[in-house]
Amino acid sequence: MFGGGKIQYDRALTIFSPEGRLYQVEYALEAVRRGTLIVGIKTENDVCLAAQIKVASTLMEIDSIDKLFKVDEHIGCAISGLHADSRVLINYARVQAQSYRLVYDEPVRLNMLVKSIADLKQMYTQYGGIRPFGCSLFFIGYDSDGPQIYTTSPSGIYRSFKAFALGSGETTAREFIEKEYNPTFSLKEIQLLAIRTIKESVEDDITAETIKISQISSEDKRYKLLSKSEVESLIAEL
Amino acid sequence: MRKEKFLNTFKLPSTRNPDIKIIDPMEKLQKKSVKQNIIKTGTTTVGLICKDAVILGTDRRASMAYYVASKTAKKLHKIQDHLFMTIAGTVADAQYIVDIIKAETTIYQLEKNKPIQVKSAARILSNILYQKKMSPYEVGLILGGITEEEGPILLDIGSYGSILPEDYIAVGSGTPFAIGVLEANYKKKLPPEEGKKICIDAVKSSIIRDMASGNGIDIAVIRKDGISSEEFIPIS
Repeated sequence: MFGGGKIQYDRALTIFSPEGRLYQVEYALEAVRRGTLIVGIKTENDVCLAAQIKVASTLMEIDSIDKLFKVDEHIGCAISGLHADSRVLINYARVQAQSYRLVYDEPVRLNMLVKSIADLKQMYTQYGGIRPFGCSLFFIGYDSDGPQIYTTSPSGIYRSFKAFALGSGETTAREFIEKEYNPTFSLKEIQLLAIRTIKESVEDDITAETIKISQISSEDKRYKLLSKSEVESLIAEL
Repeated sequence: MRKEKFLNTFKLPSTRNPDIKIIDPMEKLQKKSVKQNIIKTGTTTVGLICKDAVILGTDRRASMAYYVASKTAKKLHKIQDHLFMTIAGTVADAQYIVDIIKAETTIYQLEKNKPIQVKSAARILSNILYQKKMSPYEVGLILGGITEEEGPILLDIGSYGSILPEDYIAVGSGTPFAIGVLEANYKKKLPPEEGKKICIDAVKSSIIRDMASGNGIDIAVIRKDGISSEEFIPIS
């Protein structure tokens, strides 16, 4: 600062740049943009979530890569960005969901849960000596308002969507869903649309090993991760 | 002076003097038992292990001394698909512990991605109970469940956190009546249907003789792979 050089506004988190920007938060958003692709689509009755999995080495046990997580009976989420940061938030979300049940004896509404996570993320953009979470959580859920999709960003913003994509290739994916989306689709149709979207937006091969799909249908209103054979049969129908 | 002291020894204790009290040992005993009954529910809870199944049964009465506080008290709780618990003792304490163990086991299941072992759930309970050793939760719990690793398991959990594995148990004020039926009829590797009959008989016999038990029987049969059934048997 006193050396006559340019002031570096991206060094400390809690410093605004003259344009009013928080660079560290924007870098965190970049980490999300470079993550693997997640697609979520909902209709009036059902909601599904699909995530691409990138295998760094053939020596890796593919099953050890977690991309989709169950948070409560009726809530699940996918992660994009830094894996380690996401796990902290997922643990937090699970405890919040259970503590809501302890306090109110009812399943937590998704927007309440997402709000509490967004609050935590916001806190990490304002205090000193810390950095923001380099991840976005992509929630699906089924509560008293029906099926839901919510995303949170490292800045602490949260939004609800009918359908959305996050991660590398998100722009192509969003355009593709906008074109193809129809709110009267069945659960199977939105699952197929999600797989097709990933296939269109990513260069890698799509197999039952490199894609994971979960769903919440209006029938049981429970979050369910599809098995490998179920994903295989979906891919075969493309 | 000496004379006064001598005469004093013949004085009857004054009721006005706060230092001297006439204590009727029976009165004290009655007071204590009434106090205990007010905060405690008399209960019959029974559990037994059968072939590939665990059976738990409870009555439905919640009592306050000689008053039936509830005719529809729920003492049989589903903790997870493969794990059930019966409660006896102070209702508030027991319900609090049910809520906590439900939350703890759910978080375990989400993090480890597998159903919690019965012994692990018992250990969580034990740790919670033992922490309050000096002012304990007044509860008697039976934890029953089936996992792949353990098979059918039945655990008696005491109010300080003791864990005792058993083949058959009864907990609550109806124990003396229920345990006799179990003792006489229990055999190892009974088919679940027969086990269910014994469980019903045990609770029934204590409903007949124990004042603090009654108003019907709740029964749960826990089988392999998280399959369980709950049933209510009304008893007049």
